Amino acid sequence: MFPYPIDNIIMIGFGLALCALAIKKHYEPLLLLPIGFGAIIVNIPGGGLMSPPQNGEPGGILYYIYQAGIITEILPCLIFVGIGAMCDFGALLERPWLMVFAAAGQIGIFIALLSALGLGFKPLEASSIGIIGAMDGPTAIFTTSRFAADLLPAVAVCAYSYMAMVPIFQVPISKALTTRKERLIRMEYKPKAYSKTVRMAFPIIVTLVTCAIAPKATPLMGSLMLGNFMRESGVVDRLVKASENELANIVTLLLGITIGGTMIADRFLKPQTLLVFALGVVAFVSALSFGILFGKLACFLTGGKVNPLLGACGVSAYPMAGRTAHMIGRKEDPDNWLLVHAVATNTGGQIASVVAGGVILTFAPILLGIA
Amino acid sequence: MQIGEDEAHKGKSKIGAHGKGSKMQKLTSTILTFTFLASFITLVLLPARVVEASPDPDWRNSYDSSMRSNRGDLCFLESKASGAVGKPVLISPENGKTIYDDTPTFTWTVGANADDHRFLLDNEITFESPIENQLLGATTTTYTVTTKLALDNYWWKVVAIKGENENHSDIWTFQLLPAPPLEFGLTLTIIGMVCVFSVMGLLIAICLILKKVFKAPPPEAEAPVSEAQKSTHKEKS
Repeated sequence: MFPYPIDNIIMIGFGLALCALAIKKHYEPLLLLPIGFGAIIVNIPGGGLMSPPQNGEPGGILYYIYQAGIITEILPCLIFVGIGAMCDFGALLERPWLMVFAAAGQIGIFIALLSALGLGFKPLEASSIGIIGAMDGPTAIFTTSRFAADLLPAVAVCAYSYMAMVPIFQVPISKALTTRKERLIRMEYKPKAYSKTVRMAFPIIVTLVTCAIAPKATPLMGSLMLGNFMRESGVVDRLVKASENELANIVTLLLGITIGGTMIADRFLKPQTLLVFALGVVAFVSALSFGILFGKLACFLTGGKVNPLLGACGVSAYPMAGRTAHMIGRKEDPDNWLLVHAVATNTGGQIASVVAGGVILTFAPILLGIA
Repeated sequence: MQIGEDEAHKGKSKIGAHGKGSKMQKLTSTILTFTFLASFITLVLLPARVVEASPDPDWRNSYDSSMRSNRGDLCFLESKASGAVGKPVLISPENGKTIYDDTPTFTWTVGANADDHRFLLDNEITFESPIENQLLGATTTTYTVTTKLALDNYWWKVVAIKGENENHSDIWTFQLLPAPPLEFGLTLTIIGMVCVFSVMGLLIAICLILKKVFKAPPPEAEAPVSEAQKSTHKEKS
């Protein structure tokens, strides 16, 4: 009797819940709000927003944005240009050794990947689910659209919504895995000067090195570092401003509404989606836990000079992970300023997550013999 | 309709209690009429129009997913009217998928009016020398390959047959790979972590070298004041 089938009503409810999380809780509102609204409008029966063109009739508007932006991988790359323009790697350049934590923060990807394989997901699907552990939305979208387009809505929503909840994961894990004494460790901060040449060379070198090892990361890393190179060059202020404002905003809107548009009831309401969300938790918890355990190892090896809380900042959730680590440290000792170290590690996490994504994109097809 | 009637009864009892019977009754009956009309349009007229309007016999692909449950029946009616044998619709393995089972099971929906179905599988899209060529019954919708398939790309289709008439399904493809989940996962984990740590280690080393090579400029010293500037300053003061 009712024009809305029950599946569509559930999905519309899900879309409303995402909007509520964005509005009420401020969980990644820039993305969750358009994703939520996209999920609502795409589940209106007969709306045909994601319908392909047929019988001479044009397709739905979201179908075209999806084909042009996600399938071609243009939108994740463009958003990385904006992120690169916003990122300041200066703190990381002052203390490059913090990049070790960024590497350790990627363990969550592989634990989630192994767990997904254990649950019966196909290798490429498991690889896409694992990428959630990088806590990097564009990389997750980029990888999943190549490897398992069917899982794209679940993986994207999971990555972005969990990323917004990083403090919810990070605070209890950090407290559970560190002692108060460790959390009280103060880290000296002496600003070190370095030449502008180093700042400008950094994005170029990062691109050349990472893409030589994982060539499939070139679109993402190239875009990220293009944004950063423009910023550091100091001669294209207009482009930098456009990238970090207009471009990033427009792409975020298109990306959000299109990802929401993929959340069509009959594709999304599957047990698989619940498993992806559960594996997302595994990915986040293991990334943060192994990061902190690595931080404890560094603390031990340096004779207590490194605060293990930094280990949790090696993920890509920038700057939330860094800020949360700083807040946990300050809660124990209000005079303990970990912010610079934490944010430096967090920017390293941005690079490491793209490297990890590139490694998976490069080596997974090779291992499966389909490269 | 029962729900509507129950609601109408509930409405009546409430109406009696408030003494506004006729108005509420009219309102209830109007709502019920609109609901009935809306359901009639949604469930009966709309699907019928889609069938009529669509010149493509495979109109089901364009039709909204919410009506999926009705598809088989409507397709059957449509085919019966035209007298032709219906086109089988392939279900699994899905088009373009990678599978790991070397004796896969294929499923499809029957072509309406078909007396037989022919299942064809080949490692070439031309189906010139099919690996499997099986004549199956009118109601058969699955077939499991009995001999193990080699690792390769495959194409498959189903042909609905009625006397002289044939209707071919779409051609779908899949790739057969070895079942490597655990080995794949562990190998990728090792490669991944080694690569990530190596890249980050390399970047640390390069950053340190760069910092040594391109030394930071000394803090800005006060610019030396020339004699001429000094004299100008004095004059001003």
